[in-house]
Amino acid sequence: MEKKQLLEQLANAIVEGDGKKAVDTARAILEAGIDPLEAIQQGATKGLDEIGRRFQNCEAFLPELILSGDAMKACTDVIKPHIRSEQKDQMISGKVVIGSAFGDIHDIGKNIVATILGGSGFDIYDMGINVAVKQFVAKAEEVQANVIAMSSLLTSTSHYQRLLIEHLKDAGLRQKYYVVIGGAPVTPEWAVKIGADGYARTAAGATELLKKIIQGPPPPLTKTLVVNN
Amino acid sequence: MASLEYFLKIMDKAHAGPICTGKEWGMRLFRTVSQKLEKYGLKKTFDPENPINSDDELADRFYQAGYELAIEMGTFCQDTDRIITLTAEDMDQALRSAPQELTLGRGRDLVILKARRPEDPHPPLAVSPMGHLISEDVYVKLHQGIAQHREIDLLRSGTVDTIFGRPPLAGTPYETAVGGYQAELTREALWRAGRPGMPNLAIASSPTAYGQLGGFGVAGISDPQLDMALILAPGELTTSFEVLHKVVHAINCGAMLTNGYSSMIGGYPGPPEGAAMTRIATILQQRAVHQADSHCGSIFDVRYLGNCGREGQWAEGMSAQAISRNTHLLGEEVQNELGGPCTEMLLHECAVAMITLSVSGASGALGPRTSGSKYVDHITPLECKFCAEVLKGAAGLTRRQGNEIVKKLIPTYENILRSPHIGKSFQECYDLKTLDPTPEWRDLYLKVKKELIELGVPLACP
Repeated sequence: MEKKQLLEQLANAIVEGDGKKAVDTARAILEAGIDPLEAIQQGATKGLDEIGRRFQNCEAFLPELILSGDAMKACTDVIKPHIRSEQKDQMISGKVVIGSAFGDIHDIGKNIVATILGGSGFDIYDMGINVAVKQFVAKAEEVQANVIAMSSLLTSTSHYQRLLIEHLKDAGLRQKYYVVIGGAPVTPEWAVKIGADGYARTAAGATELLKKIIQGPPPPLTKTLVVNN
Repeated sequence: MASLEYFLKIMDKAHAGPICTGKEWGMRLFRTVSQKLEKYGLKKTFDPENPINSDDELADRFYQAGYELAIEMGTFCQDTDRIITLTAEDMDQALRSAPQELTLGRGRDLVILKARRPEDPHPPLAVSPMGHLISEDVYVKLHQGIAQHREIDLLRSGTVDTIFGRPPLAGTPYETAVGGYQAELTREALWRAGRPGMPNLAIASSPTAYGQLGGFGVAGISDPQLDMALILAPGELTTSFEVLHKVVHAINCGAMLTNGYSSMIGGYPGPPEGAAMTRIATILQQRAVHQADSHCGSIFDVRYLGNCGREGQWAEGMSAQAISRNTHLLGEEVQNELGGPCTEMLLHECAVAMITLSVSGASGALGPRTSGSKYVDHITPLECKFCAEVLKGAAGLTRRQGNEIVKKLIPTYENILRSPHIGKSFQECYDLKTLDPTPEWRDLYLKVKKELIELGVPLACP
């Protein structure tokens, strides 16, 4: 099979959320001697972009997004070890500890963000719902994360986003982690007010945000990055 | 009246039902909804050109599909990772025993929440919004301003932003304290408005069970014979111990329960058709699992976290029609507007939302969720009054008439749902001494009201 066909097949496997097909195609791509970085950028990522576009247009839904994210992760696990060391700085990556704020038992928005970020190459440590500030921090320390992402669906739980930042400052850890926030009641103004490093309104925006943040100066940022698309 | 014995049986099931992870549950819901859409011929029935359905047979098919979905899926308990199973007999018994009407409030403020049917000329009850974040220093004034509009029958209060200047952190003793504090503030607002007997949803500041435990039914500040307990589920066909704590506390207080939930277009239920069906199933589940006396549900569209677009209104109306045609369940339906005070967008969204519910048979409607409840103090009494007027004025319109009106209004805002006009705050739109709206906000209200009259909504001339 030609290179173009293989890359298209990989993209389609991601769109269809077919993990086995994605892994098999990834292996075929490696056997064919195709540049692994190109396979991710011109194949798998295109598939993920397409499912994201369909999601925004109500042509695909959360479960399909999750399956695509799982397929993306499975194929990148196969491809990543073969990326040459001099190419690795072209790969966006980072470890993200994500969860819903303490007292918050909602997780749909957080799940969408975790799925898309995972599919985009980030290593995701999903803490689930009702996560205390100290648990976020302990997990970030344990896995040596780059980013802590806290979601809140309730106005009364969004205060924990501020407390997370204060906790990191008081513990002398603020310079170790980017803090990004989101959720239905969360606004860019709130993100700026509490000194978060970033805010994104949508899951697709969260990926854009993290890619920008990871490539930028070390935390904490002097100005909150806002992705409002 | 909810029963402790029944509650304990539900708790037993939450500890003994089939095991399932949250992720498996979501995927299973998606698959089952897809199967039901196929089985009942409901795929692609969403009609963007007609946001209000007027096909009774279609609404009844949605009901049958939702009923089957509720029984086949059961209810997922987040804390035990188990499924609370239900049989058809359980469900039928729960539906039979549901109240056909509720007498709420007392004295001059007493109202009756009654089951309605689509196109019912009897007006639904108007319920004020809930969940907005309100500054402590204007909390009483704002609620006084809402309650003084007698078009509004029930008060559903906002969330108080601070307690003596401190954020009421969810799940901490601050939250327990704010439960009682908010009940006190709301009671004072009702007294100032001259409506001490107005039925009230006492504790909105309760993301976990602590707020409710701290305020609801507490002697001197909350009367469980007058106030209803608000119990919000975390998602479609899902419960948790936080929710079940609130249920049993309400039972202990001898109170009526109103249970809310959301069904997400784009989420696990999938398309608008799936969200409508899942919402029907979730309403039935609220009765069968949480013993709800009334439900206060909504549809959300995950793309913009509101529901005033075509898909959202279609799903909202379809589920309200399905429930009101096939059961006598009572509901105070929620709509999710995104425009802010002093914007035409908000008033158009409100009009669409209230007309949809009124002609679709909702027994009550809550409105509005100004600014998506996202900005502090971005809500005013005037849009609450406007919602009540439109809701009641539209009672008796046919669904076809309602559909023709909303078709003209939706295009005025649908392209800005992802970047809505957030408008102005209560403080910017009102004279806080007289509780009168600014001329700008009043003129806008009168303009849109006149526009609705011209479109055929029977409202009193401004």
